[in-house]
Amino acid sequence: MTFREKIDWLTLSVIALAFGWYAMVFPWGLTGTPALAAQGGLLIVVAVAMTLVLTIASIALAIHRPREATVEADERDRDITRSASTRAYYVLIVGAACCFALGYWTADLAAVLNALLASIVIAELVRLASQVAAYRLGQ
Amino acid sequence: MAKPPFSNDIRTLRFLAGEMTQGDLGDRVGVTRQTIAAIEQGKYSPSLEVAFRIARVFDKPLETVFQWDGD
Repeated sequence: MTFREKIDWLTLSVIALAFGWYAMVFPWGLTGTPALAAQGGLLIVVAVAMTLVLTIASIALAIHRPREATVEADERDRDITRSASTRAYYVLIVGAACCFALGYWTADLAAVLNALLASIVIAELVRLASQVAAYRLGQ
Repeated sequence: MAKPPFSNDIRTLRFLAGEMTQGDLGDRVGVTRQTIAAIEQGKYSPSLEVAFRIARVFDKPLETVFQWDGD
């Protein structure tokens, strides 16, 4: 398994766990009320925790296998990245369109922002899942 | 994922070249060991440049390394 594939697995797992937890603990019942503003810090906690875990784990992986970590991306890595990004782009476009539609349908800013966040997270998950699938199953 | 419409004899050629490892071939071609493994298993179609580089390592013509199996 290349260093890039390990990083993809790591990022995929961390994002899925972090935003899975965010979706579980988010006070969905408060959307549309001023009390929701107090929960704004939740996203900051998720972002900071995710960045810390990814940074520390990436450094640990690089220290464990320093030679692998310095290998440049070859044409297969670039092909895999390109096709995965294309897939994720379509997901992001559909998500953005849904957010626009939601914006017309509801005045609830939290719902629209969470839908936008979900679009970005899902697109990123699709990109990373496509990459690990291509590394495992072939490109 | 669809298999490419060609096969290759890289594994045999590596064996005949003093049991050259995938890593050694990858280093000489400029790709990772994993990419050589993927090419050998038919999981990745290399670019024409990498295909020629592989053939040059073994000092063989391209069609000796890669054989077209499609229609």
